[in-house]
This record gives sequence, C-alpha cells and structure tokens, in this order.
Amino acid sequence: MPVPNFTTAICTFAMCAACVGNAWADSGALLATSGLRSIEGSAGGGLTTWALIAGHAEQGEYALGAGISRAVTDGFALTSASAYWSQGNRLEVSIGRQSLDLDALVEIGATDRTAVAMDLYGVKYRLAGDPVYASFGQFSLGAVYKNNRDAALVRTIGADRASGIDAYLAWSKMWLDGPGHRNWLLNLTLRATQAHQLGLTGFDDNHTLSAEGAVGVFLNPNWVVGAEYRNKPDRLPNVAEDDWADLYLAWFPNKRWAVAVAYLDLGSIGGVDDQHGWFASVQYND
Amino acid sequence: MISLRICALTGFALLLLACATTPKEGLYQALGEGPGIASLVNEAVHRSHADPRFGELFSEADLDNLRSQLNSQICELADGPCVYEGLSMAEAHSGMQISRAEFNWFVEHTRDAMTALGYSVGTQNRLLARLAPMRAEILSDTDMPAQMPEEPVDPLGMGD
Ligand code: HEM
Repeated sequence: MPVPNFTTAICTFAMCAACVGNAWADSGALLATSGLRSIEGSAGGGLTTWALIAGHAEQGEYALGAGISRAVTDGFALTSASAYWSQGNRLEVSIGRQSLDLDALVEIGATDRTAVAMDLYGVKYRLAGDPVYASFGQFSLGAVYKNNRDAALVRTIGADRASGIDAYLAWSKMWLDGPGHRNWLLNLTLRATQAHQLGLTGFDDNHTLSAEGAVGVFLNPNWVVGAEYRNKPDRLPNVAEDDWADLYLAWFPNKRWAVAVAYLDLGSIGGVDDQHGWFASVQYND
Repeated sequence: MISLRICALTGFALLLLACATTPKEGLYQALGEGPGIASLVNEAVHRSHADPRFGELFSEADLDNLRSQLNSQICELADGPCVYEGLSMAEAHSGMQISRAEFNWFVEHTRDAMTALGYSVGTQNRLLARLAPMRAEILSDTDMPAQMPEEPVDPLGMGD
C-alpha cells in the first residue's frame, strides 16, 4: 500500500502558509488567543485541547500555521508535528503526525520496534461566544480521527483497533482582571474517546468519557504560566494508563510565534512507571 | 503524580497569596488621576490616528471632542470624580462599521500606550477589563444582535 509521507505534507503546508502569509498578516484577533499547538494538532496547551480556534483570524479572514513539539521522559520521546488552517475564528482544520520512540521498551526486550507513529486529522467548530468578550466564554465542538500506523503492534498490546475518533466539547474563558489584577485563561474539555494512551497503544471498540482542563495566568500580555491536567481512560487489561499533568510556561513574543516549555508527569506508560520529563513546543502562525 | 500536583497547588496558592497582599489602590489613583488619564488618552488617540489600517476614520473625526469625552468617560469608569455626558457607545460609533479586528487594534493601541507611559500590567488589566464590556455596543455586528429585528420574525411562514 502506498504510504503518503505526512511529514513532507506538513512541511509543504507550513511553507505554503509562509509564502501566501502576507495577505493575511493583518489579522485582528488579540495576542495569545490563538493558543498553542496541542500534541494532538488542535489549538490548546500541550497535553490538553482548548476551545480556542488556532490563528488570529477574525471575521472574513483566514489563518494558517504549523508547530512542532517534543516530549521527553525517562523512557520515551514523543514528537508531534501539526499544521492548521482556520477561517474567521470559526472553523479549525488540522493535520498532525505523532511519533513515539520506544527506547524503554526496546531496552527491556518488550519489542524490537524503535518507534510507533500515528496520523491525526482534526476539525474544531466554534459554537458560540468569545474567550475574551463573552461573559460565558467560548464553546467549541471538535473531533479528531486518529490512525495508528502500526496495527500489528497495537494488536500485540491487546487493543481492539488501530484507529478511532475522539469527539469533544471544549470551553475557554479569559478572566479579565482576575486575582492579582492578572488575566487568567481557564479551559475545560469533555472528551468521548476510544484511545489508549492517545491511540499510540491503539483504540477500544467503544467510547468512554474523559475530562481535561488547564489554567494559566498572564504575567503580562506575552508570558503565561499555568498547569494542565488530563484525565485518561485506563482500559487495556495488561498495561496501566495514568492521568497526565504538567506545569507550563508559554511565551507569545508576537502574533507569529508561540513557544512553550513544560514539566510533565505522565505516570505509567507501556508498563514503565513514573514517567516524568520535559516538553517543548514551537508554533508559527501566519 | 503526587509531587507535581502538590507543586502546582503550592505555586498557585503562593500566587493568590501574593495577589491578596497587593495594596489596594483605586484605579483612578493608579492611572495618575486627571493628568495621568489625559496623557493616556492623548497617547492612545495619537497611536490610533497614526495607524493607516483605520483609513480616514480618525483623521476625519473631531479629535478634540473625542479626547475630552474619553477623558471624562475613563475618569468616571475608574471611579474618579467625573460624570460622562457624551453619547452612548452605540450612538457614538453607529455608522462606522467597526469590525472586530479594528476593535482589537484599538485595544492594542490603548495597551501599548499604557506600556509606553509606564503603567503596571495590573493597572492596564484593570482599565481594559472595564472597557471590554462596551465592545458589544461598539461593534457593527456581533454573534448576538444587540436589538431585535425591526420586522416581526415569522420562521414558520404562517403569516399573511
Ligand atoms: C472600548 C473602546 C472604545 C471606547 C471606550 C470609545 C469611546 C468613545 C467616546 C467616548 C467617543 C465620543 C462620543 C461623543 O462624541 O460623545 C467616541 C467616538 C469615536 N470613536 Fe470610540 N471608543 C471605543 C472604540 C473605538 C474604536 C474601536 C474605534 C475605531 C476603530 C473608535 C472610533 C471612534 C471615532 C472615529 C469617534 C468619533 C469622534 C468624533 O468625530 O467625534 N472608537 N469613542
């Protein structure tokens, strides 16, 4: 079966974004309302998805962008690359690719594969509101189709399927002049998912509900510190899965670039306990 | 897991504590009272006037009137000893077709003006949070229409 090269696709997408970008460079939305690239390709923090629509496009404008992130724990490393197109602060479409290095499992002889890869295709639609100006914040509905490219490995682990769909309802609210006379960003997402460990260890036939949330405080318009928490299903009989948490620091120097670093606590992954580590992500908006 | 959660909670608790102990100063005082507000209004209007993205909007406007109205409006908004007697925000901006993008540029000029004049981030946030609720009246169109349509709505086509 011919396998399209997704990394190339994402790079091409990003380069196109860069060349046609000037037409859209004057976008009106406020700094940092684009969010970051989550590891699953949609606008969010790092581990969690937010209701924000990627890019700074307002009515009648388009936005394009791309990002890459890497999470490194004691035993694993996850690289996530993604690109998005968004329209009028209403609709976000994203494609992404994750690649997980399995160093810890190779070491203990659990597998001879060095990596497992997954493709992600997402859409997010702003239902109502505005994160800054609506008193009730912004609500968005989204879905991500994920396809694990290593069906054989997924079966060995004991998962039902190699692909699945997440559907989620997300809420984001910027609390202007909150505690400390700072602006605070609050996010809450309710997700129906089939995935085990995002889908990197496969998918269940049935959906289950999980929740994720993030808070951040804007030290000033360019710097945000915060924390994320992601509830994870734990449905594979032989491999435990834990909730994820992180503390992050994000920098929005201008509307084009966003950079974040985080300290991760990912619990048990693939039978290897206590996975702590570091996360870094860069996003380019057009 | 526990270590990180404890760390996160402590961090936020400390932050809240730091906030709670910030001395309380009225916004009007924090803005530097009348003279402070006047320089802020001058700077924000100057930056908007100089921004070509607004086209002729500000060069055709009566800037002296705009500045003096903004002075008393912000003074009143900041709990200062003034009464704003100008137009309502809907009246003042009707017919200008102000877009969300334009509104955001105006907010950014106001923030940049405050940064340039040395106001703290906290003071900037306090003022901008009081200006933000006016957006719905100023925009030419929002998600939710400010007024009901003039004509009676007849979604089922039962009328006439
Ligand atoms: C929170 C935001 C804003 C506030 C508090 C505000 C306040 C005011 C006030 C007090 C006036 C004078 C009303 C009067 O004459 O009685 C005014 C007029 C005006 N505003 Fe705004 N405004 C805001 C946003 C904007 C934006 C986003 C634009 C354009 C992009 C704008 C453009 C103008 C113009 C052109 C005038 C007319 C000046 C004249 O010819 O008299 N304003 N505004």
